[in-house]
Amino acid sequence: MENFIQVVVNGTLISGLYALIAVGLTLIFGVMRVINFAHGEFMMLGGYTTYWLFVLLRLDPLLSLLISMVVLAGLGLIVQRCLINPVLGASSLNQILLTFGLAIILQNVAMILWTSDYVSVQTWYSTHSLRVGFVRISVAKLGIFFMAIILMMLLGIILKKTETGKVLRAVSQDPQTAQLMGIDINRAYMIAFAIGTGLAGLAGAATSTVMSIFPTVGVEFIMKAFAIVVFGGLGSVAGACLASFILGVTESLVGTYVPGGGGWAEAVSFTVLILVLIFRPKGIFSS
Amino acid sequence: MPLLQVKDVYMKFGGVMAIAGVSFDIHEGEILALIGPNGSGKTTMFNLICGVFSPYSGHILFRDCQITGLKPYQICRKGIGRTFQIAKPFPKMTVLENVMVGSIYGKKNSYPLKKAREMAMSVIHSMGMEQKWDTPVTELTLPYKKRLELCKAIATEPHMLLLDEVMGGLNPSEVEEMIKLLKRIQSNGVTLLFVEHLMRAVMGLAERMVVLNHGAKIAEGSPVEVVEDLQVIEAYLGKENQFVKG
Amino acid sequence: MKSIYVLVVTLAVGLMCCLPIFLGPHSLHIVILTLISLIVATSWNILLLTHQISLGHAGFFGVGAYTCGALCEKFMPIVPLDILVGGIIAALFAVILGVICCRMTVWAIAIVTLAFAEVLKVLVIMVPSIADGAEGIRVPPIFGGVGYEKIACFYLVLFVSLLSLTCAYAIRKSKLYYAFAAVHDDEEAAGMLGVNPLKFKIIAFSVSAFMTGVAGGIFAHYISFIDPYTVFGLHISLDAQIMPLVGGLYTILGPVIGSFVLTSAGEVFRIYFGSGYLIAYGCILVAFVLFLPEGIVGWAQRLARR
Repeated sequence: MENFIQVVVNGTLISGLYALIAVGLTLIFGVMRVINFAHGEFMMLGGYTTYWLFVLLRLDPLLSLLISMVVLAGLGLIVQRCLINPVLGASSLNQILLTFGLAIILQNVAMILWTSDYVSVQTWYSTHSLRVGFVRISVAKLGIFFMAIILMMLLGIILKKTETGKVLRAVSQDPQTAQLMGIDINRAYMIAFAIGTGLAGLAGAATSTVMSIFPTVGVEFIMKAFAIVVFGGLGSVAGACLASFILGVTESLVGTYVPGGGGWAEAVSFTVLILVLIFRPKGIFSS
Repeated sequence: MPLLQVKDVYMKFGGVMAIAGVSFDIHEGEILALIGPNGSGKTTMFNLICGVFSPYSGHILFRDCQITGLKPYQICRKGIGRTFQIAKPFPKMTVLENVMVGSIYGKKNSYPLKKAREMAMSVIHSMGMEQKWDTPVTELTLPYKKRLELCKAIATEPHMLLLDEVMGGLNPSEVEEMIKLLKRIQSNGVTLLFVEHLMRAVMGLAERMVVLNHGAKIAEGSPVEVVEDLQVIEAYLGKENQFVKG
Repeated sequence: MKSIYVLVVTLAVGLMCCLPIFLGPHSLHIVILTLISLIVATSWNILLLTHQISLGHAGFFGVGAYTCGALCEKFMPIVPLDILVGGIIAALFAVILGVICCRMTVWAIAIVTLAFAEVLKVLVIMVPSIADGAEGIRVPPIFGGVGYEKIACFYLVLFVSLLSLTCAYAIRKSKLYYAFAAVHDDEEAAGMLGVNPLKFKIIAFSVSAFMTGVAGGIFAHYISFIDPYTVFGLHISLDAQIMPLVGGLYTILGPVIGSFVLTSAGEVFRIYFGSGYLIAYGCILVAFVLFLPEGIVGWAQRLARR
């Protein structure tokens, strides 16, 4: 029983990280109707940014989190302008191949620059843990979890209340009408993409303190993000959070209690993805 | 025995009743017009007959055979052809290839390729598109796109053809030609059910009419009878709309 | 006009048959790998005919390879029967995946196929009881590993790749093409003309997976050692789509031209960039999508029309 609670707590804490990645992905798809297959690579780059700031400048991840987010949002802007925008009117085939190609490029650039070694940022809070009763809670993971919750709430407020948020929602519901109403649709695309990649960068930065960063780390995480987005419902921040929670806990349980362990946990997100798509094949990703 | 029987069909989208208890028959060889104001459920009715949607309740019988719940391709093979309101040609193919899809797969036993090609060619001829047979469909003008829709549907050798606004966007002389074409199709033994906004075309073609409003049938009869029907006039003029039954 | 095509094809095939005389072992090795990826690329292109985009052909490739490996390990090597079995099992996976995918949008299919290949890879790595885990397994060579092994392999691969091209050509000239093209362009309209979209999408999926599985099996025997990173790797899926794209999507010649152009380019990149040649591949993919989405064949056709 004690073990069980510990496992559930671990799964819950990790789900905050998943939500950060998934929400960026769903936001970009909602507004631009493009699935960014390179989304995981933006996360990976965010992780390396934090890592190198730590190694070279001894910058605490708490600070470099924000720097990573801004850097990745900027990179996202450039990518959106130069690569994604030109194919927005093209067939979905071109869009898929483009973002997939971008993912391959980023992965291999990282491989060359930083080798395929696993790296991580070691601070006092990455190894320190609290004891609540019999449950041990990693300080860093707890911090990430609360940061994710705050950010999700913030994003929810931005989307609901602010002018920009209204613009984004209008564009995601009906880009043509939004354009007719005088909304600068390109600006909306840029904002959505920048927020999305910024969140991915932040997630990568957070990952580097509690797990490892390596060039193909994004592939692992984007699978989970796909499952979450599909499961939680498109464009729904709350849905993504709930789906992240369920996925995180399920993975944690499978990893602990199923013989053969960690391998099967990796298959959880795929199973979720398939199951949801079987029962709601057109539901989420239909445009 | 009617060719097609629609029996007390209901259709719901979410909580909205799009079709509420509509029944009508179509007899072999006739031309029936389905009319009604925008949003009255005409295209939904088409989609129900073609199997795009399954009715919430009620039955649709074609030649005394249940077709409710069948998939569109199965219904097509039973002998119901259909054109779309907004022409849906296959953009990567030429006119001939477009029509051949229908002539190959439209029947229970598919034709061999060579026969299907001849058959498609003869359909293209009969619709007066022989100069265009090798044109990529993206280069066709609107009247030809509408005709191509007809060609594709006819290539499946249907007993009955559902036409969704084939006149939309055509100029008066093109409308005349289209009316002639449709009459020729009917004289070949094809039953026609069509949705049309253009009243001139409806009056010129239809032998009988069914009028829908708010998803319910409000009138049925010959064009002259229907036009004099008070309810129809109200529905079209929008006056006291809320009192119209349905 | 037709006789010119026949002549060109015959000449090209004849030339290919003579290649072992001119080429050294290394070059022959490259040509064999090129032909294997040509098979995968051709099969990917067939799937594309129905507007289904797979980002996970490595999954089918790996299934074919591992089936061969497992069969040879558990029983005695029964080449080429095990290669066929590998293809069939890959096709079975594809039928299941096809049934799941056939109602989905193209985005969802891309995601599911990508996830499919990744999950197979992770499972093989992490669950050693499946197939010796990350260690990989040995697969006996097809022709007993004697001196002429490589040349014999070359002719086998050449034969199979010609078969796959013939298959693609046969589809283009058959009724299937009309159904595939109709489903590709508009499923609803296709249904109204009597085409069952789901059926043809699943057919395309399984044909494509069968060919890729066979390619995987041949690869396993030829390399004689497989591990999950090699046969389930993203680079296989990448090859499968970049070659048709560079050569010309939807064309039969496209994957042929694409595979030879890219492998030659890849060799050059490998000399200059070492292991980073995949960056160049990614850049080519992005560049072609942005600037020449119709590929080399489409570009040549456009020039010819002028």
